Amino acid sequence: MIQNTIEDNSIIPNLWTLCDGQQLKHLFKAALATLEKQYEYVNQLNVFPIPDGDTGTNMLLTLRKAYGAIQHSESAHIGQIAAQFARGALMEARGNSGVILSQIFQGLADGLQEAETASTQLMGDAMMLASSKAYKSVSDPTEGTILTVIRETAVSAEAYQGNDLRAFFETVLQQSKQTLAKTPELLPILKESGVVDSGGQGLAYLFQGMVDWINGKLQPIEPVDLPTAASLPAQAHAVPEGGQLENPYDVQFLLFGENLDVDAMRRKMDEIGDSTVVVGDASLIKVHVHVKNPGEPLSYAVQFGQIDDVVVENMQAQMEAIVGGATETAVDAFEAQDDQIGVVAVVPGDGFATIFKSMRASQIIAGGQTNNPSVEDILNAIESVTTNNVIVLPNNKNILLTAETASQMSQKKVKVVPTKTMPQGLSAMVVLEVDGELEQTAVMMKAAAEEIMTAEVTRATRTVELDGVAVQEGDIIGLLNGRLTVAGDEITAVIKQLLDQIDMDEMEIITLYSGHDVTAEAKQNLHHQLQAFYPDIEFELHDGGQQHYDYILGIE
Amino acid sequence: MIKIVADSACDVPEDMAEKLGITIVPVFINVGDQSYVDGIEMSRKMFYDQLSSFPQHPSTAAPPAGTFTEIYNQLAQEGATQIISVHIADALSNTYNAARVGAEAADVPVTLVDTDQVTVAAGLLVILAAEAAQNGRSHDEIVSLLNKNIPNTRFFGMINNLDALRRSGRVNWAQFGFGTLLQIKPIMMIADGAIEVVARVRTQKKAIPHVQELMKGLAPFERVVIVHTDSLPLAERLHAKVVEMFPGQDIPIMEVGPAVGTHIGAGAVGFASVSKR
Repeated sequence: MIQNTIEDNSIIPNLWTLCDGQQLKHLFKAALATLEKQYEYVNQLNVFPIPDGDTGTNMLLTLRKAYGAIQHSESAHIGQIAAQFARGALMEARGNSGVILSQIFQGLADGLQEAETASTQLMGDAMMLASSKAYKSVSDPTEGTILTVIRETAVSAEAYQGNDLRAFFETVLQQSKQTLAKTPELLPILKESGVVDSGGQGLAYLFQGMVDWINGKLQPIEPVDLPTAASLPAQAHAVPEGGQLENPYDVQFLLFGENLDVDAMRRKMDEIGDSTVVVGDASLIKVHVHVKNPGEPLSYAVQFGQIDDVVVENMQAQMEAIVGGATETAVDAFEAQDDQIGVVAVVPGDGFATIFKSMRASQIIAGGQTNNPSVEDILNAIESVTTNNVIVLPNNKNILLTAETASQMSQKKVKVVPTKTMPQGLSAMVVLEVDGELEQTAVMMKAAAEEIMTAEVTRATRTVELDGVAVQEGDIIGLLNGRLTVAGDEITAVIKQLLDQIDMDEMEIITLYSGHDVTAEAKQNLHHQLQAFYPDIEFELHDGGQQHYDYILGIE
Repeated sequence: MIKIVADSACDVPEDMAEKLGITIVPVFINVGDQSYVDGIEMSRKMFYDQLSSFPQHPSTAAPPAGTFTEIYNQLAQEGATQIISVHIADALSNTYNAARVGAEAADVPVTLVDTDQVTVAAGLLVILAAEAAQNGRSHDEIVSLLNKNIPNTRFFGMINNLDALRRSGRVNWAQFGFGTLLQIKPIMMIADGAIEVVARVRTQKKAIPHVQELMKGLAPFERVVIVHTDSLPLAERLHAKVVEMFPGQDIPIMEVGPAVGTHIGAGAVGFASVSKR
């Protein structure tokens, strides 16, 4: 007999009316396997021809971590498995699609909470909770997205009358496909691009995987390596520039057990180290801590249960490697004291990191368009701030939800200022008063962010016609405040066309942030040409260091 | 007869000084190894025209104590029986101290008043004192009028470019958060002899609503003046907004002279006020 392979569906009885924990675990595993196979296709459904947060990648990373949390669990209790899975998803959630997905799992877990096993009826009720949780996670729900898919699917699931779980999942899959097919009718931008919604597609693939496994059709596949924000060298670990780290080892692990005391664990970790993040419940605790001796947290925790998924990193060695290769002028991050405000900023390049630090940012997270940080990345940065008052600047519309989710999970007082672009983030930093009152400062920063215009220049990743702009793959394209408005083959001309959409007589300063691959000469040339077009405008030039985007401009 | 003396860093406009009989003691503007007498050898126009082309950034120096003694004695000879000598903040300049030393050697009783202010804000207090003197107020009445109004006096200026302030060495760079790679324009306040940053903006346009808010908070005014350093068009823009806010209030525009202009540079705009309390 083959065990633990994904095509093995022998744990399902002929007459399947109650789903237990291990069966749910296999359903999730099958869902993950299908997404592993299809995530690139989901990525390609990105309607915007710009390099930005890839839905498929974000959903896959979220799901992998979620599955990692139940992988070794032998529990037959469906409520426990669902809860552990949801928690794993929440920590790793990245991008808006990842956060919504994690909320779907959370709703499901809420519905299955007390149950040993689930009937079609309970499963349907839990899916309704999943749907409402997903809607609540976004402030401005849009129809024609993953939200519509989960809602209509949940309605069908709840309405399902029989007690056969096989037929139930088949109904769920069929409904998700039907709703998915409707998404272009609900969201005009999808229709224009000739695609269905990417997040909705990702969700339908999850149901597809489950049904394939139930029917014994699922093929095992190898997981692929994906870049993540955490793997980038600029990842913030609260390291001083140069010098020795007080707690050089970054230790992360999961602790499984019974009657675990989360607060006691957090107190102990605070005592032996810093940058502590301890989350979980009585049956599973996730620990992240920086310590002198990596054995200490592990030998403490092992008294209470089983340890798994241990990661130990030597940050001293990492830091020396980073400092050795650094080209930027070192600027110390701001160390907030007492009641001062510490700012956490997500930035897509070294240059931006330095500028943010010079403006008193306390923690920098490397991440941006194509590598959205996870909830855990942001939560770690929040916890690493030396005070209890934290403002988070996501600086990207696809990181807003992740930042919101992380802020709600922290015990600190955290405000997310919803900056959608780098110039917005820096505009907010201009008015930061580190000694100010948190709420009021956040309001002022939000107002300041809204006062600046952002222009971005990148290369089209595919051929499309969008909002009346015809774009060929490889074209230079220009976005004004996040909207694609110009396509062309010459950078200066594209920027000129972007700026011509603004009343430049009302503007005083253009700040030009050049990308990683832009030469100093190219930047100077662009500056001189633009200065000739706009003689009254003051230009300020900085290295942003971002990937994919040749230039980002702040116009104010 | 009571005479009012002030230093040139109070930036009392020439015609008003003449009309109100105020004696102005000039401070020095030093550029490299050259020293110019403020307002005499170096006019405002000359100063701002040349500010960007001076080989070295100018600095200021207080008049010698002896100059104060000479001027006080001169006024005594012309019939002054009491002198009230009103000066820019002791905390920010040596001028008050030079006047104090000069007064000790004078043949006439001199009452020194530290305005805790600079430029036009100190000037407004000088003008209040001179008007009271012209209206026949007694020495004690004038001194108590000044002491009552000093705590109600403010100077606000948006600094267009931080270079001058950096070179003047008058502010704590790190404490004010000026070490930013992105250029900022702080709105600075002087009150009670201390300098504070009340807001930071990136553009002149954004400074205007901030300044309006600040004015709203300080109204009603005994006196209020729009001030600038070589930036009349911007001052006029602000003035146009402000006259709408305070109908019936006389709001002149005055230029900050070289003594303070040296420290805050050209392109600054703001206001000086004495609130009614």
